[in-house]
Amino acid sequence: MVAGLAVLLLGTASVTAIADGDESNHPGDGHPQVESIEASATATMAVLRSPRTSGDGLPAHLSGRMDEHSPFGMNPDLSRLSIGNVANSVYVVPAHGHVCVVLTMDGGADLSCPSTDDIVDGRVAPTTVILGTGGIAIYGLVPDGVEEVAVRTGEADSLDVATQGNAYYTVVPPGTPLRSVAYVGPSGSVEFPIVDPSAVFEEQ
Amino acid sequence: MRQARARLAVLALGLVCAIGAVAPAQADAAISYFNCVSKPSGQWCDGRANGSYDGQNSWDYVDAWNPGGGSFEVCQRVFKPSSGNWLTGSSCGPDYASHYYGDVQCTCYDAEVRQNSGSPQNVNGFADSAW
Repeated sequence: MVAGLAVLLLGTASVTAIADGDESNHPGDGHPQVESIEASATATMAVLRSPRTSGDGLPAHLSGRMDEHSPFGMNPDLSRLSIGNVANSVYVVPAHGHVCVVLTMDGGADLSCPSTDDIVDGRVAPTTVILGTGGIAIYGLVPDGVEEVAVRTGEADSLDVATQGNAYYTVVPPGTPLRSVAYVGPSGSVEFPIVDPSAVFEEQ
Repeated sequence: MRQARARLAVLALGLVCAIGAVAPAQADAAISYFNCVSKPSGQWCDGRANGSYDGQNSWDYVDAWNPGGGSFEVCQRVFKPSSGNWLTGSSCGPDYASHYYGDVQCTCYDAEVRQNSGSPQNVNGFADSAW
């Protein structure tokens, strides 16, 4: 009876709200954390073939939370630093059938996890996120051999962004009209439209 | 017999005290799954229309994902309806986008997702406030 009471109280305390929404296919479910980097990922991303050093680790407060969620079995203990900056850094983090890309920012982080197949094919669309400065960060992953991407904005502006560690990252000013990210990879020329996450469409 | 009952009472009291010591650290934890069925492109969704809305909270982590086939861009944000503002960190990514917002104090936010495919699609969301 006492043990039952304890279990009941603990269960009540640990989670105060559980939704009845659709949990199907949640990226965090059914994927134990990977213990090593998958061969298909190392074959196409040099950054994952490089030995891991102390500088490749994510900030501890982030890696701890990421261990809790672990989308697609992502394992922060296998991370590599692709682009290191004072305010925002890009990390590559292996998962099951996916490779996640993490952009640190403002004490938190943004995250996307394209499939390894799409990376191998050079068909990964970019991720966009609003920074604390109001600027729009544009970042993503590319396979070996892609040295630069073209970030197209406005009517006809285009900015060539060099890749580093199989990743790219750039920031455009707030309100910049976004068009696309394009590059030439294993599938030839590819171009992906990009959208300002703060753009207002029709509200719900 | 009386001694056994006394021991049991002491044990129960000890357990309640131990639980009390642990519970405050976890008391703020909340999670939410919400689904947006056949949602038009470009519209933010908190699941309210499908009855899977879990109310406002200090959401500090949000997932948006494509639960089905095909590939399209999904977005997430943490939105404060009373002001019409959202937290820094709203983002969009291919089929999956998530964000760690750091320390969020106000229990006044909705977690929202949307998709930008150009046509109605299902898009799902998950949020928690366990930071």
